[in-house]
Amino acid sequence: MSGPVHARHRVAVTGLGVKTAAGNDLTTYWNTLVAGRSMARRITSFDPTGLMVDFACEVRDFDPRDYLDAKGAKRMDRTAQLGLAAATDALADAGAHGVAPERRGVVTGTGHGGTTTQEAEYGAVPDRGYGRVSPHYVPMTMANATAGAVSIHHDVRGPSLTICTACASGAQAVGEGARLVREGAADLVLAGGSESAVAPLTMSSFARMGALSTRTAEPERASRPFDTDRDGFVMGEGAGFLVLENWDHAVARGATIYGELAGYGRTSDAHHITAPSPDGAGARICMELALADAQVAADEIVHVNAHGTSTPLNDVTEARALAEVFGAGRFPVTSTKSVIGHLIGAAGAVEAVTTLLTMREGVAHPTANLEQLDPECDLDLVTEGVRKIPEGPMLSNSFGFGGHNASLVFRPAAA
Amino acid sequence: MNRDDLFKAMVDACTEILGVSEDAVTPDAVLREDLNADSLDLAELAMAMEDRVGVSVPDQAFKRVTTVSETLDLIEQHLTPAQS
Repeated sequence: MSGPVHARHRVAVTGLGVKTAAGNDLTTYWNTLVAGRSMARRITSFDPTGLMVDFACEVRDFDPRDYLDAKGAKRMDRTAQLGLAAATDALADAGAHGVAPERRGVVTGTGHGGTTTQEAEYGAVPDRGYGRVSPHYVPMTMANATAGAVSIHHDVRGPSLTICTACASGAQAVGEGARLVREGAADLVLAGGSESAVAPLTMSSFARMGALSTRTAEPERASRPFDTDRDGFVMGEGAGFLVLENWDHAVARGATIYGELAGYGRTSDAHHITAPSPDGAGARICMELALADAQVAADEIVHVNAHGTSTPLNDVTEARALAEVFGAGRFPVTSTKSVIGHLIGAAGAVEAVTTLLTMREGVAHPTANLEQLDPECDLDLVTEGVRKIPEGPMLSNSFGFGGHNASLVFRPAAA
Repeated sequence: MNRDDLFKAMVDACTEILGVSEDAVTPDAVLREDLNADSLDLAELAMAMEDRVGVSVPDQAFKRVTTVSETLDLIEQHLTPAQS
């Protein structure tokens, strides 16, 4: 399958895997999304007493020992454990691919790296001295730990890299992974994101900057994208991975194809380190680039999985950009973050998985907690049950701190 | 601390850090090959033994030992008269 560098191979998605608060396998995950109820609960991984925001969407019933031996699990931060597990599931979902190790690639996204380990070790030097710092601190906290783990466990000997663009990391990992397949650098790429940043220091900082919902009395009602009463995002954790495969290779082996990753756009706001550009230009141009890359016209799009964080600023800016690109309320939009929270560097990858499941099922899941649509957001949001979506191309958005924007366009396999 | 105490401390540290069974930690066991320890494990093991025994051994010296008994020899050399 190795062709000239300038050739552009089509990219098939042939495997999916998730670890989220809504489920650790595709069936449970989709069924929970369809139920349309938020998974935000009081934090259980540590005692959150006294924290400004004491709730999050944590992954439950995940045992790294299902994927790793005891020593391997101990030497990996939860971010990498979740990522490796989701990637392993995605690869199993893709079936027997027969791609040689040197033609395999991996691209992982994370916003923070090994947050739990970082925060657990902050006291190491002052408390125990320079000589008593764990040798595992660096390999467990480095942003590329998941990419390394996936490469080691799945014998990936081709290109491997890590994208670190905050909340756009997951979508960009998928997009950059697709580019590796397109340009012929690899025939199969495991692409996705993982994040476990439900940790005291990180949560406190997000809370202090006013980014998190403070609805502590009713956590399950806190993540409410595009609702008039939204007051911030809800922290989530988890991982999502896709198997991106050379289209001809996937067809030749009779693989089940979820869809084609047809377009990828990315821009930067060049505006503010945390706030989106108020005119939404970065987001708008990003979507336009993704459409152009996919050679899909704006009026062909049948559904958008929004970034939809539930912060006052993001949702109105994104809604404005969507209306400018596609026209107001032209197709159903939903926000997966309403159910699973904001997975930061994993969000875009998990939402890419969601978009492909939406394509397969022919229905979009509802946006949880959307009771009164913000009049500033002129969109047709899916609420109260699933909505049937016609067959056609779909778009997924991710926008990150730092002003990083990414949009992915998926096309049905039959098209 | 006598040789038996040192050995017990070593068995303890190896089972905890390397995830091996107590039976595997024999005096002749080669750390890298028999106990499957890599460079990170050896660094952690050195730190754990220093803590358990209360000695300070130069890092470079730890890198030269290959077996369990060589590790104990090295630690014994650094015990103060009061400790041995």
